[in-house]
Amino acid sequence: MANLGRSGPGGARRAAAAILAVAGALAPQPSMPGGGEDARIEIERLGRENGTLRKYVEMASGKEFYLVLDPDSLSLRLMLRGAVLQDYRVLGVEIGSPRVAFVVRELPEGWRGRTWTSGNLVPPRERERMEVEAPPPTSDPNYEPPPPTIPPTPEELYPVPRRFHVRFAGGLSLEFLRKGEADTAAGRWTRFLEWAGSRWSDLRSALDPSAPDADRVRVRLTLQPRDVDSLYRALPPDTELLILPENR
Amino acid sequence: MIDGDGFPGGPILRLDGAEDPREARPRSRAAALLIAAAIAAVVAGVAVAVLASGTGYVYGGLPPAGASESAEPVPGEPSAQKKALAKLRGENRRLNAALRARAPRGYWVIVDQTQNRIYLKKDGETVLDARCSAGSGMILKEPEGGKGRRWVFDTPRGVFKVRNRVSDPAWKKPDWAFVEEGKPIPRNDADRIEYGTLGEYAFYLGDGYMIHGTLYERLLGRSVTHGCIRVGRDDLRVLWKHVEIGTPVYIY
Repeated sequence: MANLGRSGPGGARRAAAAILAVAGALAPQPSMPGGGEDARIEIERLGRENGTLRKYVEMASGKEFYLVLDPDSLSLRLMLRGAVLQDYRVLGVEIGSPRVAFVVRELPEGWRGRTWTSGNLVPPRERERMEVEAPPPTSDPNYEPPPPTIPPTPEELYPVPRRFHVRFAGGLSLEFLRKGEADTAAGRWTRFLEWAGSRWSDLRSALDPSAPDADRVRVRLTLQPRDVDSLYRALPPDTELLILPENR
Repeated sequence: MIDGDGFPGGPILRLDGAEDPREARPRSRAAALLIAAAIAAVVAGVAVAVLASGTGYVYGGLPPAGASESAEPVPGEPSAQKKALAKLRGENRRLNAALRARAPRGYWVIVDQTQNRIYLKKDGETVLDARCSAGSGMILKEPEGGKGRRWVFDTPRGVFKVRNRVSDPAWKKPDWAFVEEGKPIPRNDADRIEYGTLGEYAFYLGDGYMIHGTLYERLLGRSVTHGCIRVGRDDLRVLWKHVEIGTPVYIY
C-alpha cells in the first residue's frame, strides 16, 4: 500500500516550492538603485540573472531531462519540462580543481551558470536484458505456458557503486558521496583496490585535460545514502545540468 | 708464480691469492655505478611519488564565479542606465513568467520506472507515493516460422498526457501476448479481448501504454511489465479519483 499524503523522496514541500523558489530567487530586487555605482551593480546582477533564466527557460522547453544544482541553497533537482521530478537535499558541496605536481589549474570561466550537456553515469548503470525466444505456437487447449520467473528488485538489479560520477561533455562531473558512509563495509583489499583505481583515474584525468573523460572541474556533492542510491538508479541518460550562479 | 705478463688480455692467475689490481678497479667501478643507479632510482621514485601525490584533484569550497558570459557593457549615463534597468527588469519578469508557465499545475503524475515508484502530485504537494511495476526490459523473439519479429518491453521516458480513462477496461491483446504464451494469433479481433487483466481502471497514455491495475500485486515494486505501468488496487482508486483526461504523466 502506498503512503498517502506523505512527502516523496527529497521532500515534497521543497519540491512543491521548487519552481516558485527558483523564480523567486531569480526575481529582481524591488529596491531602486540611486544611480551611478548602485545602478551599475544592479544592471550587472540583472544581466547575469537574466542570462541564467534564459538558460533555465531553454532547458524547461527542451525534451531532455535536466539537473539544476543550487549550491547556495543546497538543492539538486531532477527536472523535465519545468516539472520537479526529484528534489535531493545536498548536505555538502566541494569544488575539485585538477592539479599537476602541486600546481592547481584554474577552473574554466563561467562554469557556473552555463548549461552542461550529455551527462551520463560513470560507471554506467548497466541493464542486463533477458532475451527470450517464444515457444512455437500450439493449439493444444491444455497447454499452459511456463510461469514467469520473479525478477529482481531494483536494489538487486542496480547495485550502486561506492563512488560514481555524472560526467558531462566539456569536462564537468558531479561526484557523489554518501553522508556518514562507513568505509568498513568493504574489505581492506577491496578498499585498497578502489582507492588505487580512483587515484589512477584521477591522475590520468588531471594529467591529460584533453582526454574525453578528463574533468576540468568536479563538483563533489554529499547526499543522504538513500538519495545517492536513488539518483544512481533513476538518472536518465544524457541529462543536462545547470549550476545556478552566485549573486543572483 | 705464473703471471699473465706478456699475455695482454689473457687470463690472469695469481697463485698467492692476492687480487690483481687491474681486476679490482673495474669491479669497484661497477659497484659504484650500481649504487649510483640504485640511488638515482630511489630519488626518481621518491620524486615521482611526491609529484604524483600532488597530482589529481584538490577540493575546496565554492570559488567566486568568473565573469558571466552574458554580461553586457554597462552604460555610463544615468539616463541610459535607467533605460537599461527597465529593459532588464521587463525581461526578467517575462522569463520568470515563462518558467512558471512550464511547471505543471493541479494534479500530475510522476513514474520512476527504474525504482518502480509512482507519485501523484497536486501542484508541488505529494498526494500519493506508491509502488508500481514498469517495463521489464525483456526482449521477446518470435519463434522460427513466424514473422521474425522482436519486441522490447521498455517503459518509455518523457512527458505524456492521459488520453483516455476507462473503468472496468478490457484488454485487446496485441500479437506479442499470444506469441509469448505460445498461442496462435487469432484472426478475429473479438478473440483478442480479455477482461479483468487490467484491474478496475486504466489510463491510456498512447501507443498502447497504460497505467492500470494488476492481478499480481505481489510483484509490485519489480520491473515485470511489457511497458505499461501497473499499480495496486487501492492506489489505482486514488489515481482514478484525481487523474483526468489531459493530466500530465512524467516518466523517468
